[in-house]
Amino acid sequence: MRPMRFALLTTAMTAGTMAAGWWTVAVIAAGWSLLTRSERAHHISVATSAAFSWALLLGVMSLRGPVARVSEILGGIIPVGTLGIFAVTLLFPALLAGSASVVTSALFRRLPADLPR
Amino acid sequence: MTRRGSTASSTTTSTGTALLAGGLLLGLLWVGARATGPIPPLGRLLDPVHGAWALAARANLPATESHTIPGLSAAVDVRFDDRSVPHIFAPTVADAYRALGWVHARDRLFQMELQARAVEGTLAELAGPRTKELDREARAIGLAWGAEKTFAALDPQSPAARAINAYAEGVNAYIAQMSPGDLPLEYRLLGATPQPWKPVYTAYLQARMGLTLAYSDGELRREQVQALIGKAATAVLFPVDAPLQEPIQPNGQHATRADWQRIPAPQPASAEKLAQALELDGAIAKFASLPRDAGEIAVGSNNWAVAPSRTAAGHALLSGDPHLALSLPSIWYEAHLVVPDTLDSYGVTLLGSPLIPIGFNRNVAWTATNTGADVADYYVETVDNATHPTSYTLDGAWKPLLVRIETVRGPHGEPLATDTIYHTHRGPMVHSGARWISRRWTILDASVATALSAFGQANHAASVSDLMRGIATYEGPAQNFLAADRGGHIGIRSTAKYPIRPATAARGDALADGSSSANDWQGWWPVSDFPQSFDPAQGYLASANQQPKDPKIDGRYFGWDWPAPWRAMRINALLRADSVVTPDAMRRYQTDPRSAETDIFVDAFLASAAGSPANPSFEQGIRHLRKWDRTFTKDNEQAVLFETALDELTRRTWDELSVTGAPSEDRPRRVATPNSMILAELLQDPKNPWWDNRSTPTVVEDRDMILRAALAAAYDRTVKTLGNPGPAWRWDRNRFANIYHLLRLPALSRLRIPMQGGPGTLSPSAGDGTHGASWRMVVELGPEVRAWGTYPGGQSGNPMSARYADRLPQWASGTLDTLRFPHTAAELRGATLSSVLTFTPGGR
Repeated sequence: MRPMRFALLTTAMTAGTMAAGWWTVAVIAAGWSLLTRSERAHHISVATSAAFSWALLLGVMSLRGPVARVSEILGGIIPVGTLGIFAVTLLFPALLAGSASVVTSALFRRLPADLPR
Repeated sequence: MTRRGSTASSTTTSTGTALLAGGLLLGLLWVGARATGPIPPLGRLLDPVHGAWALAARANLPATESHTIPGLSAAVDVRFDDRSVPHIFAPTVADAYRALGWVHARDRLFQMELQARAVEGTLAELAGPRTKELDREARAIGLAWGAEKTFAALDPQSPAARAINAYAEGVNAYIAQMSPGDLPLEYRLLGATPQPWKPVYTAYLQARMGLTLAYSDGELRREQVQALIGKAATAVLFPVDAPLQEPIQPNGQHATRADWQRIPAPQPASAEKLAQALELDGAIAKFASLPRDAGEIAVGSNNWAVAPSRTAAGHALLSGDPHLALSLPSIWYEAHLVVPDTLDSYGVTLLGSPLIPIGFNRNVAWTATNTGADVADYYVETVDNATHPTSYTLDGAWKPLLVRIETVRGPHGEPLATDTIYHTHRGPMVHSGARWISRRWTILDASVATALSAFGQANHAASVSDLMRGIATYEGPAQNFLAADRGGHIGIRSTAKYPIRPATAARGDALADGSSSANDWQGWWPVSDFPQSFDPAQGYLASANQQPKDPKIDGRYFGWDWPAPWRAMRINALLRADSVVTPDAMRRYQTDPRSAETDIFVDAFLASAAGSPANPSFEQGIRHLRKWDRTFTKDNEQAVLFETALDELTRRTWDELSVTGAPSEDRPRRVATPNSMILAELLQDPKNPWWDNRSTPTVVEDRDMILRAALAAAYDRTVKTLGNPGPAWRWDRNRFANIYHLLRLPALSRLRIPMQGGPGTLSPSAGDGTHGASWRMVVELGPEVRAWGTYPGGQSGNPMSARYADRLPQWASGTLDTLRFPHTAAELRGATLSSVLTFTPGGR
């Protein structure tokens, strides 16, 4: 995936999460995949983009409060540890977006369209 | 522009992979939206904007913010000081309560709802089926039923109703304004959302405090003990009057008086009577799920006040440290309410109520300890049908039972259990063995109006007498209200509704016959008869849950099985010895490491060594006790041996009180344990048959043999558990405060906090460490009121906040913060001000 496209998708996922919540990651991934299903290995890029968008949001959140303390507590509750909770938080949208992308591609593989460029 | 083949993705995505991805996607959507076993909904939890991460942004108070509350008469200025205490400056009292409701909700919403649901019996709707049994018990006890009854009787125009409604408006204004990011962590973990706050919840809170502080099932336990050892021994082991008299109402004596009695030998139990008595286990469990033999748990509220004649500065001093089950967030929330020319009170509030039950204003300071009076009686009822009764006998006539059908529901409204609760005119009944037993309990009748009115009066009081006049109508749970004022007056009164029992009926410590109304309560004690004292000649007053009145002054039945007065003895000894008391001395006394109990028992252990046959473990034990300074300081290496020895002594002495229970119980259990004051009483009688150990039929043990065996066993046990004497024996490595989060999640709890204090000290630290001083306060009533305080926790209920448990280190070390008590909002500025919150009228 080209950097601009990656940035666009990441922005969309960030905005979606901010506007409506976690599940938008799957919806945006599916939509993106539908439009770009001709690209090779785009599922991984979609997954990476989702993880990146949540990492971005966590970065912003760290400017507003003690994210390290949150990770300590959440990592104790889940329990996967302080670093583990960061990993889980990034893995979750990645898997969500990646799997949504794969499923969409499989469902719509016979459609001829591609993004006009 | 390069164009790849349109079938590229189809070649890279096999059907198998697609199916796998589909399964993964569905699984992730499921675990993202729904709780899976103990795992909360992951999507809602991990979402960086709307999930738990967002709580980071709520961890710190914003420098300024403004919100609307419907119903406000004008703007309210709330200033949070550097300890996150809100100082609420409002134009009217109702507006102050609205603002307090709002800040309570912002800081402790989950705690508030959890407390209300615990009384209502709807925890399972929030937390799922695992709390079903708690809900069934809550409904069977009838706390919510009683609270709703008294709340419905409230005049909507009364000050109490207006206070409750204003407070609820504030809470609901916050709930209505919450954004998804504001949702407290606990709701996220449970996959739940807050419900609107009902005004009746304030009455629930009052009922809940009644369960905590005024619950007793002594009649049921006493019947079991009597069946086991006979009436005569029971009367002395579980006496109505404490053998050590250091009463709350001064009795004119200058030292503790010992009224030792000889403890009669146990009488052999009748198997039939015993079996019937043990069936009461069912009733005990159904009326309240307390441990069958809670023993002497380390609870111990204290309060004391010193008249100006005995203080260094010549101003009255007051100290209060109510001890309760510890939790995070704490049961208390500090606040300061200011309404020009009307109200200027600072203290701790209970989440769910707008008033300050412990605190001070510009003239008076007040605090309370639990009285422990017997305000619950049990009756054996005669019903028409043993399994599905419809009526009960009263004075020869059949009376219809009130029937409540209670359905416990789960999070989706699904029914989990349905119970039928039967009431006589006395209260709810439970089925126990072949008997139906009802309970009359003042807490089910206690009016929330009188409680609010009483505390309202306290908040506005101008003097001790003014305050006592106001709280005279308070109905319960019974409290030893202590106050001091700027005029130099001090006073104490044990206040609640105390039943007058018929002279011909059971005393209150035995099961009564429910078929006769002659056994019912006949009225209430007049206030003039309550235990009380004002400006006593001794120059100080103190209470520590001990028997309030000397039975030689007033022999009427008031309760039984009073806690041993070790704490009362210690604080009175400290106050007698100090005629120039300072606020700092008051603070130090709160965590004083000595116990009056140790002097009696250590001396007994040491005396038992005289002429004893050599036993290496006993000799080692004696050596350690001899060098013990008899304090429970953190670095003490002997206190742990003493505590173990006392435990061994208790176990070996009261073996006659053990029964072999149900087949599921692998070893005998003690039906009840006399408190350590009774053990001290037994020490006075070296040949008493209670010293004999039943498991050694060929030997008749006496006191010294048991003392020696207990100390030797304690030494061996301590070495086995902790190794040889040394740092591992330090008190702070063995006894801790354990403060659990309300959901008992370890990550949100603070466990193994080293503490000073042991059994019988003013700040007991023993047992499982889950009880302790829930608030510590010292107030000096000088020209300007000065106060110090702290509690184990922090103002915020958000575990992500530094304010969640920021006071714990200070609490654990026994130090106190200076409490800011500004006259005007402008006095809080610069470093003393952390946040300004402005409320304006408006909104829905």
